[in-house]
Amino acid sequence: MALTTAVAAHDSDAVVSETQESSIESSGGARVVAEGLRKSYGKQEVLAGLDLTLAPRSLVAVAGSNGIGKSTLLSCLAGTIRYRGTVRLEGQRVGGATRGRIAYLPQRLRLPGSSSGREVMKLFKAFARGAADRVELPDGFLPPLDKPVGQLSGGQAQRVGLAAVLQGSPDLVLLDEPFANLDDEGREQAHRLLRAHRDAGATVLIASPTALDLLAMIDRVLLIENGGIGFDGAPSRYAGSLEMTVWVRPGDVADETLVGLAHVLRTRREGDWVALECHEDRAIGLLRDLEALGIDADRVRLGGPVAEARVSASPGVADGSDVR
Amino acid sequence: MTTALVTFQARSVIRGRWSIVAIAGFAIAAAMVALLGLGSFRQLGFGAVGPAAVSLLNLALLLPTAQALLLGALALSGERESGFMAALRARGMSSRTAIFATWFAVTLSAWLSLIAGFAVVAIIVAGNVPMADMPVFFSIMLICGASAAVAAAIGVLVGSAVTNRLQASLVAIATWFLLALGLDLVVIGLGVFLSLGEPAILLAVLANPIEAARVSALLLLDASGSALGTMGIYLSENVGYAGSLGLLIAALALWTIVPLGIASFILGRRDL
Repeated sequence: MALTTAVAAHDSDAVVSETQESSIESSGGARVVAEGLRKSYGKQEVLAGLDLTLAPRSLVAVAGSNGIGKSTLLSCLAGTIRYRGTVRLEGQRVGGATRGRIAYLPQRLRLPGSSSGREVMKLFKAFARGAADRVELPDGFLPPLDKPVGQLSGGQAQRVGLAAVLQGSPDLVLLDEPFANLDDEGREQAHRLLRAHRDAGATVLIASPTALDLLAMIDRVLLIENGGIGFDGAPSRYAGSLEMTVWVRPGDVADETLVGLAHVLRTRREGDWVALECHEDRAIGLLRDLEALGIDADRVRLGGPVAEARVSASPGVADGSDVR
Repeated sequence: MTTALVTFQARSVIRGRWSIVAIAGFAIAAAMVALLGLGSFRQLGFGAVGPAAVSLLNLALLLPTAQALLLGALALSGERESGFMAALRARGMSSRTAIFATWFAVTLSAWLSLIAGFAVVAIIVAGNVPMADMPVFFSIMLICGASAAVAAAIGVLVGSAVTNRLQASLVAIATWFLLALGLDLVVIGLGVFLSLGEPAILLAVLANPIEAARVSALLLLDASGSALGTMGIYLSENVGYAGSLGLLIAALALWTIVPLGIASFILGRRDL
């Protein structure tokens, strides 16, 4: 069954034009309304009646495991694939009427290698229909633009692609894993750039497998599960719902005792260590339980969150022996 | 917007490695034909069906068409595969614009091959053929240009229909073999077996754009049509010289417009 998502308006006070405001009002305050999106590849249904509403001036992450439908959702919203259902941008069906208002960076975009960065920028600028750039690029973001794109590194080409599609004043910005290949500085600059677009009125949707690196900058997380939206909420709530691993050297404490702890979802043993998986917001409770069992802090190590586990829910790992 | 895309595509395709190789390759091959056939050009000029003129004609009908077919298929399928077309589609690029821009860029690349090749030939044969043959020389170049435009349109159609670049190149090569050799062999085989008459053979010519271009060029070289055998006589008796040329050129125009229309239709109705 399709899950309807709530509108999460960002409370920034950026300027949105009067005509846009009236179109947004006519579409119930939402900039993008997608209803009953269905898309299949052969017999595999990737989107199964997905409903989605996106507010103006919002920065939203679409998370989910590989092949779950993140890119397909973005392609539907961009109007670059055929699907069943409707996508409306401020009340207008995505297509001819919304020309120039959607910026889309596909995953692993490969720009023509013999063209220079400047030529790519010029081409996308032409498709921005003369609209002035809503946001200026951070200094030093772009590599030398006279070089053919084929001679740029993967990260440099990604910067050109990102800068090219963001030209003009797109109302809906769809980015499929836009930070791939970017170095730390480029990533930081890209984060600032997207926040600036959001603050200037754009709706920005970013696909990322875990969204973990985006939590500090986004307003909302959508997790795709089973062809619909499995989670829709604030980044803090999303982070709490992720699973993490607490590694324990139990010593005299029996594995069965660890298995029985209240917050533990799954366990597995690897040598002297036992991995206890729990939701991130339950980790403190688990640590207290371990302390109560007499397991000192020096016998405990914290692992990173395992976002994909929430989606795939596959217990244990191949190289470890399950104890539950 | 359309101008910006056409300019971008033309630069991108012409600067591509394969375009440069094809342009240089055709110029070298044409130079070799001109040098080897210099005696024939001296004797018969360019305004007659001589071995050198026919060799150059066949070369100009086969190599640039192969270039256009392959580049057309690869350019369009490559842009789809790379996500470049999707990024532009989201910004409002129509399928028609995408198809036209790619076709124009590829055609221009093939025309550059023809210009380079024919320019080299002109330099080599200058002083050895009468100036009166120049109109025929340029007319033949135009016919070859038209066949290259047709091949580019078919290539773009292939590129719009296949799923990836590998498939595009395989289908493009197979299509070129079919048009350059396969259909001729079928017509020859069936012609003998079924005793096909001239009208059926004319239909077969119109159904193959490379053959239509070849017949047009041979009519330009020999207005009597005698070089074309009984079909030439049939054409001059039933349609006349101008009518025959008009019919064949109309076939070439249709062979350009129809594939482009189908490609635009397909591209507008498939996932990018």
